[in-house]
Amino acid sequence: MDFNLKINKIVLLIVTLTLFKSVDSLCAQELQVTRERTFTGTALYGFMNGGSDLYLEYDFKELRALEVTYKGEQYTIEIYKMPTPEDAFGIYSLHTFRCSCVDTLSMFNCFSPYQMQAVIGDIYFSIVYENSAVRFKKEAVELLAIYSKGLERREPTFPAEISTINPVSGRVKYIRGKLALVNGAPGLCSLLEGVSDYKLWVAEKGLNNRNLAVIYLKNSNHLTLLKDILPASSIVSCDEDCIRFEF
Amino acid sequence: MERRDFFKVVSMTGAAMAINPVLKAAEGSSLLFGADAIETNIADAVKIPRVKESMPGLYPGRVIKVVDQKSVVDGKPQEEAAYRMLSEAMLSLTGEKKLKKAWRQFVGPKDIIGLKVNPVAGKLLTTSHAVTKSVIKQLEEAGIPRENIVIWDRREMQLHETGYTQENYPGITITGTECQDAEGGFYDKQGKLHSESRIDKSQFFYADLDGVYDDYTIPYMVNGGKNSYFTKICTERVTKIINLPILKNAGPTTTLCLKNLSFGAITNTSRLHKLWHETCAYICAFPPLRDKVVLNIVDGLVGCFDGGPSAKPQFICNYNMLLVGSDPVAVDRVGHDVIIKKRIENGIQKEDLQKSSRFIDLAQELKLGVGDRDKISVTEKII
Repeated sequence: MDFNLKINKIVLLIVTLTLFKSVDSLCAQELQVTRERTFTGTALYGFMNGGSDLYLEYDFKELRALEVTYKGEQYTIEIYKMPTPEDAFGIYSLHTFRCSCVDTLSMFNCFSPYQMQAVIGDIYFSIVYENSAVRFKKEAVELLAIYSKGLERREPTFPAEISTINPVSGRVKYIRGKLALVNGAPGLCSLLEGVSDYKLWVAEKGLNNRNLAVIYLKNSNHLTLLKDILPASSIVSCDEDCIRFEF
Repeated sequence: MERRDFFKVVSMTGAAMAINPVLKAAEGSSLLFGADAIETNIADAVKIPRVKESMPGLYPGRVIKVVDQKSVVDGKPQEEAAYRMLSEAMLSLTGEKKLKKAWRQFVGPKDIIGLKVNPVAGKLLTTSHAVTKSVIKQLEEAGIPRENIVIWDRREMQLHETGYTQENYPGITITGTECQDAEGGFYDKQGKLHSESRIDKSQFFYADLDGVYDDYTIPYMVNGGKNSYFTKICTERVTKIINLPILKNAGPTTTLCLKNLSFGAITNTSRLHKLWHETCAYICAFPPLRDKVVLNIVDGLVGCFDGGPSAKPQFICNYNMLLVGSDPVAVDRVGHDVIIKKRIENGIQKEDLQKSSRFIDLAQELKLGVGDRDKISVTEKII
């Protein structure tokens, strides 16, 4: 771990420990909302057009999109309400890439040079800043504390095989449909062609340095089909509605 | 029969769609997957005689790739570099020695020229002002009056949000199909969408997919049903179009020239994401685009390799590149390969999936350009 990353982690840890207990002390006058919009259901097309389809696959509910000035700097905050914590984690998991300071805030979170993402309960947060300096990351955490105040913090329920993975962000994906599959686990596209109505958890580099997939299927015919297609050696275990396999 | 009259006949008769021959979409799909065949009116478009400007234009199968590693500084595209890159590309594409002559192969002083930019991903990933301003500067130097230039996209409000404003572009028209009034409302006093007056109901793409929208969504779609109408910006306002997409992905596929034109020029689009590849190709085969788009300049100074078509900072990168050609299909093929290479380098995917560029194959079948790699001539210029 390089020195800067260590410093980042320490700073963010201190911020986290103090911040979420004292949100009220954050200086409200230092926060100015310059623009706020709300997009409900399929009106998300009005915000991101074709990009919406991925969110709608997870039954996206509502987006609150804010542009704010905080302590003199500009931030773009997107707050996505999803139907369940699993869905919030799912859409988040598709957007994590080369994260630093992963899961350091007592929640699922991911920092990249110009963005912080997090999941709290059924909400997926994205906060974008214009500078990669650590001060902007710290202030993004403060903004997260402000906008997540009072939210229920129920965590997604992971399959048992995946619940031991730590950290989770960047290593686990939750997939509910074709677009998410193409984005999150393209290697499984061929296998799942024709299979629908599933919930798929994918953990990277699990046991034996192989990827693990846990797929829940409603249709028993699809379950049988998958069992037939998958090499027996790759199947870890099966239940009535679920197959666990390595790939 | 005039082309315009033909469309009128089609639209006046409700039964016309049932009588007119339709092509079955070979493999209805989203970004990769097939779906049941879906009827469209692409056969109607194909029948309309082509004109000399029709796609692929003056240089079929020819693409100029210009790279300047200094074209982006601190994340900001540089106008001076963009101007230089564009000059190189235009001279190389046309074989002219003078920039003015190069531009005049495509446009003249009497043309009303629409610059189709792409602001949909917001400020982080819009067609850069460095490139747009360079195009405008070179058009003016080629004798095109400033008042003959129109910057357009589907959503006027997104143009404004991304800096395409009168303040930044004095004397140039900035317009979109979907629009709001000064108070931010979508409707006039009669309860009619402002956008409705900006669409041409005589020219449309029919697909047997019903767009059904709630009150929140309809302002962004303009209409529901099975028709997607062309914007009057294309059918009436401009005589030539210069296409300025961004080098970006949409999942494992790419959204470049054809996507920027097709989804930007029509209404009622969300239903068409189920028919993504067909829509990208088919819409461009209709005269308002096929016969007016003379040049494609892909802004790859800044682009993305994942997270598209939205802008996700972690996937935004500097390609430091412009791709230029009259042939949108050839340009799309070259751009597609650039993005997929980047995705593979970054471990996003392991190989190019043939299905992911099906829109290019479809466009080639419709004779909109050259999609086969071995038939495309790429000239690479490094500054």
